[in-house]
Amino acid sequence: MKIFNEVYGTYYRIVSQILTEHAMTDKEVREIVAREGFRDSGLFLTKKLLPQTDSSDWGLLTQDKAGILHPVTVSEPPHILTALQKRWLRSKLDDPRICLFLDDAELAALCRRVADVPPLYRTNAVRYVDRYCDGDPFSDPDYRRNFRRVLAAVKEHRVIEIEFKSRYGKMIAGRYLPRRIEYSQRDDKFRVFCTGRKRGATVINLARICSVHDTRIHEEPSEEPDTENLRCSEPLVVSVSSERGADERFLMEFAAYEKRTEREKDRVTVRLWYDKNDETDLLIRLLSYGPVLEILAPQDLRQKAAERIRRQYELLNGG
Amino acid sequence: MAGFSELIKNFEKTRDYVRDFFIYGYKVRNDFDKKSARTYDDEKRRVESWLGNCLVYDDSVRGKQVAISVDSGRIAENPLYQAFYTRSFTDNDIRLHFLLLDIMSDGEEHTSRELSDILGEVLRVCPDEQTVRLKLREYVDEGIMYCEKHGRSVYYWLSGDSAEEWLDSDGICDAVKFFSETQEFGLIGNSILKMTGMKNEHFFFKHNYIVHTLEDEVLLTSLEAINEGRTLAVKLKNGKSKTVFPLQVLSSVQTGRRFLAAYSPVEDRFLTFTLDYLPLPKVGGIFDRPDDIAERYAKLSARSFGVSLAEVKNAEPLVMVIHADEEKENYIIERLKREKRCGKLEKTGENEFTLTLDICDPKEAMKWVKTFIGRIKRLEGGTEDIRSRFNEDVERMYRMYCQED
Repeated sequence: MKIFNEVYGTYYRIVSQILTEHAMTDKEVREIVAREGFRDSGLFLTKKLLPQTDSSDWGLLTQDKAGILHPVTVSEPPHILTALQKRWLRSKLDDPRICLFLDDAELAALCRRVADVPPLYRTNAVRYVDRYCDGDPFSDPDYRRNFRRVLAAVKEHRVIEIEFKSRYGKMIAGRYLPRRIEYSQRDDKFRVFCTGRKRGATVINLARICSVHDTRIHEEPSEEPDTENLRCSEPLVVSVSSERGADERFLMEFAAYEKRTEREKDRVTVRLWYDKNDETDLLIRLLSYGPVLEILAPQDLRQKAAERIRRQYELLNGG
Repeated sequence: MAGFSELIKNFEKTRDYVRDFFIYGYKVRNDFDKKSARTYDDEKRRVESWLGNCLVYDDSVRGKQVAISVDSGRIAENPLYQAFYTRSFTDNDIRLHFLLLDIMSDGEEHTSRELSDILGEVLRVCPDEQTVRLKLREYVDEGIMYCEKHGRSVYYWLSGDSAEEWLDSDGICDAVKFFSETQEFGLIGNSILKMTGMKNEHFFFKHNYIVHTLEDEVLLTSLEAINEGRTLAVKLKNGKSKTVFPLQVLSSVQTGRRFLAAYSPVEDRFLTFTLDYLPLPKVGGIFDRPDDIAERYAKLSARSFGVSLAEVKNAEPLVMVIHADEEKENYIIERLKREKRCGKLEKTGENEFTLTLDICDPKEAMKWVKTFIGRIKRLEGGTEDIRSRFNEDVERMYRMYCQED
């Protein structure tokens, strides 16, 4: 049982797709390879698919007198789940988040189907050492219902009425077009990115939602991503030294961000793009590196760091 | 396929290049000096072919830099999965795959001889029965086929577990889409989506370390060994090998690192290995005293702040006294509650809260402690080294940020 196996590979997938067609032109074959393959697949895969005069092709397609290509196979290639894929699905049944997607009947049916399949791994074989302990209540019936209503609206581009409690405890109700659902691995929470009728782009924590009602209004989302206005206007620029292995640790920790890096002897300068909503969170994570990291820009973020450091200095030195 | 191929036989070598392009981004051609420059050029060309859209190029004073630059929170599919869909194969492999599946789609049981004869009628160059039998066995191992012996003959038939039948509701499809981007083999979920022509469009992930997928083979081998109670031979950076009993995978969702926690019988101590640099370990025999070690591990890990399993000598509980305005800064108290892990939080005065961390390696908590810079009234316990370093760090930061003029 291997993950790195050609049966999952891009070439096998393209061939499977081509053998599903009963008749194709070589142009159509080339188009599928260009669309589904890697950048250079046309150079390698196409000549193995199209019949060659020296028989160097795979012999999976024949060409009739009119130049039309036909598969040598009779039936469409089946999509058989491998043991690895079935065991992965079985493992996910032990994940508490599975009940967000399946109702009790579906869950029971899937459990029966995988009864003889051993899980790929046991849930307790992996421990998240620093995940926050106030994650969302995935098995709560109200939470499950709200999640499914929001997901249905995201998929069908429907406006919904959401009533939720703000972080300051205030009840807010409004009409929103939910666009996408975001899960945070660290927070163990779901959030929904919406476009509000009155408030524009809004992010709502799923766990703060009290009720969701379908308005049956269909609305196509605009092309422009709703998260663009959350983006920082100026990237963060930090200089990280190699002291205490900070450069390596920083690049790993901030690997999730879009960034550009430059090495100069024992320091790395990193430009990094972030969401303005996350600025405070970002600031405290930067401070956690202590003096082996220096915030160079934006100036106001550097200023905020300086204020906290000054307060800390005074706390320690009785200033 | 003589010369360059965009497909690869061994993922281990490629894994290092993809990780370096993704994590560092500042490396230039000369920095990849473990292998020849030609190897670098081939690996770079492959990565460009697989992940072209995510690559950025910068000219630095040291040379041309190649980097994979992605905002993980804004993509619906991990682009690094592409690197796994590149395993090379022989002409016979792919012919046999599609022809055997086609013949066996009749739902009947066949012997390798029968299948070999049918193939002979279709193929210009027919593989011998032995080659066909090996492929059938391989597919039995992968779960694509089943077999049973009747008399002296082994009969093979195709598994009836089609993806379309298993993914028979919107709910299951949504679940696969969601889990295809989560940790622990999201790649496998993605392979199911690819097989059925589906893709994730609605679920996005914050604090998402997509680079973890490069460790999936190492993770799978480690989890198999944990599941079966077997030892693992892990290769260390110095090239030496160490036999350990694997216990758990420790995943840090804040620092982006995953570790294998294991017991070393020779040294009689617990160790952790970072998965991102761990070469594919070899699975060994059954470990003879798992319960005893598991019990010791459970006690130790209950006192671990993160991934360190080192019991630091003479370390006292680390005590952090925090200032937080109870009326206006309740979010600080909430933060302490949800992030303290194995600590004990008490209100010890007006707008004063004390967190006591009785942990095996107090040094490990210091990175988190520094996220409270600006509020720490006192830091006590731990070790003398930890406390002095904290004071020195604040001094250095003060000079760096507050004494510019």
